[in-house]
Amino acid sequence: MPFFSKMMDLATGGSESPVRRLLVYYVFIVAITVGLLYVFPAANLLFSGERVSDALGPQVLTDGLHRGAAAIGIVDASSLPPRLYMVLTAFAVMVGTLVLMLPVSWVYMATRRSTGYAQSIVHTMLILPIVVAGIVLIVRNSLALAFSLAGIVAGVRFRANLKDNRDTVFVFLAIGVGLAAGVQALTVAAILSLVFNFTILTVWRTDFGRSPLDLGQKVEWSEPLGALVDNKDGTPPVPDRDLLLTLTPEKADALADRFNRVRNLIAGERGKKGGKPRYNAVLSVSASDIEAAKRAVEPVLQQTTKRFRLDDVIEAAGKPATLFYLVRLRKEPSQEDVLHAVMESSKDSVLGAEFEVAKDLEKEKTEV
Amino acid sequence: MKPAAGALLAAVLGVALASCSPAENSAARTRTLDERAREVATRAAEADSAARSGAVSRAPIALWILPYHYAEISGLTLTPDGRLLALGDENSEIWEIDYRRGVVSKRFTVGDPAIQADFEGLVAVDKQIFLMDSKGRIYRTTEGADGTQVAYDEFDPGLGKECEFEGLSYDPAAAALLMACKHVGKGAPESALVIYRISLSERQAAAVPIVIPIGQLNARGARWKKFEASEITRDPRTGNFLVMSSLQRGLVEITPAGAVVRVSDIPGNHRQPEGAAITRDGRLIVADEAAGDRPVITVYPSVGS
Repeated sequence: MPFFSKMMDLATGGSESPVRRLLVYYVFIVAITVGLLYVFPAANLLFSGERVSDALGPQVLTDGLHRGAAAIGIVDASSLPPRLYMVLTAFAVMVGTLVLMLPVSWVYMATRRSTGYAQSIVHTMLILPIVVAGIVLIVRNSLALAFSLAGIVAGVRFRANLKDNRDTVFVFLAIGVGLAAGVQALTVAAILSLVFNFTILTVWRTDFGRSPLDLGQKVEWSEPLGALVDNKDGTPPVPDRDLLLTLTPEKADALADRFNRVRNLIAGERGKKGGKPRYNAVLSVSASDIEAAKRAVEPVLQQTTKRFRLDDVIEAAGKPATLFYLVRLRKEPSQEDVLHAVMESSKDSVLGAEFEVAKDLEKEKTEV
Repeated sequence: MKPAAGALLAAVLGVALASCSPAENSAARTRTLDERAREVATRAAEADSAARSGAVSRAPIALWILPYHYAEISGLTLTPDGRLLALGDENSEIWEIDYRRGVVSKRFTVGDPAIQADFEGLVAVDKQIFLMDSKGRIYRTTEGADGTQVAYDEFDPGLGKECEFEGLSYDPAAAALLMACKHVGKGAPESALVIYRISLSERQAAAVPIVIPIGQLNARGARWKKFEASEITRDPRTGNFLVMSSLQRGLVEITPAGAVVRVSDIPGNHRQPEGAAITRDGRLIVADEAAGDRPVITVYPSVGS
């Protein structure tokens, strides 16, 4: 892979542009394919979609006595022993599928970097089309085999809830590429992969179709938010680009206020030199009943911490509420013991608890 | 995008578009197919010339490898105007194959929906086409255009218990269909070559079939324990019938009356020859089912000796 990366760097002049790197990759595939066809004309069977054209009209047959048949796209594969031919075909189809799905997985990871993605989908994207191609190779044109396989596959309950519709499209593409490769139409599979990738990249780069908020607000607000997203000034990256871009000015102000308040409380107020912060940790408590949780947690904090204060309560319909306590921890007991005591205080109302300690926050800040 | 990358993309697109030019591809295809036809004619002429000087060639003059779709090719016949029709085993699909150039010219299906049966024989009689399944049931239809589904009618001569049929031909002198048995059921020795005649006007089998004991065939030099026919076809030059056996790899030529003229091996090396036809200029066309490989149509310069 380092060699491959170096080759890509060399070919793209070190550009990180995904479009340029994809373009180079596809040109590289075309070059390899042309070379392969030049050396092994019989490989044309993999690209001709013969199994698809089986169902079409006038059809030129392979000339078994004349070796120049490849001149019009006809290939004589009869010179190969049938089993060897089958092995080579299956191998080439599956490798071809993998080669065509690799850039799709890169595009998927690149476009989901900000929002996060499931590794299982990336793996599925690479493996699923290979399996589909294999199944199509097995089924060939046999209706009986197709029904048998449908029955077998129906027995395997494969269900996955994909969070994002776009993930579903990637899985559909994987199936499409697998099908095309399975009917030995790798050309169609390649075009599908190429068009899909560039479409996805374009849509992603231009943020096409994003639901507009208030138009005036968008004009006023989009530029500073966009600058924040682009992260050109060396500031830490924004973890959720989509979320940030949908914030209204009011919501963004409220969020900033909250950040400042917590920061001041934990790390000391800005402008106050040597000002010792009153709190050095945030305790978040997940609770099903807010009042019951307060009654249970606060006596524990009274006993185990130097001081504490309820900073905020976040409630969401259908979900447990979260209580945020600002806490000044003592040297003893340790934060683990405090957490344990909080959890033990009320198993009915307290569903979970965790600390964010100022030292850790400082450490994260310096690492960034 | 830099100019170099743009130029590269343009070059790739240009090559792709150039290679996709339909007109050029069509012209190239026509040229190559014409060249094929010339080559086949040349090989045939050379074989005829050799035959005139006493050297009978058993080498094919054409060999067409068919796609997987035609794996179950099981019957061949020539139309009155010399076009080759082939039949699929199970899906009642009939294909017109240009055996001089190696092109499937058209495909049509019998019945809507297509008849599902174990088809084993095909013969063209004037404008009618007859299909036969392994139980001896006869289906009558006509030639359809490419991609169409044609109507049919059917009748059962009631020979299903007599034998398993594989091979259908037509005797114009008797106006009867000839149905060759692969596995003889009763009424004749198992090892014999048995052929039933079906009068087209009466749609009934003749009272007595043609029965040729295996000893009569072996007396001509063969060494078969039995003869299981896979195809029967008429030689338009002599009016005799050629019966082919896929399992015995043999050919038997008989007169319409059932007298054995000659026996021989099938020329070449065939996996599973299930169809045969003889052209008016004496070329023998043999169709092989896929049998784990690819279906093949082979054209020999003559029926052989």
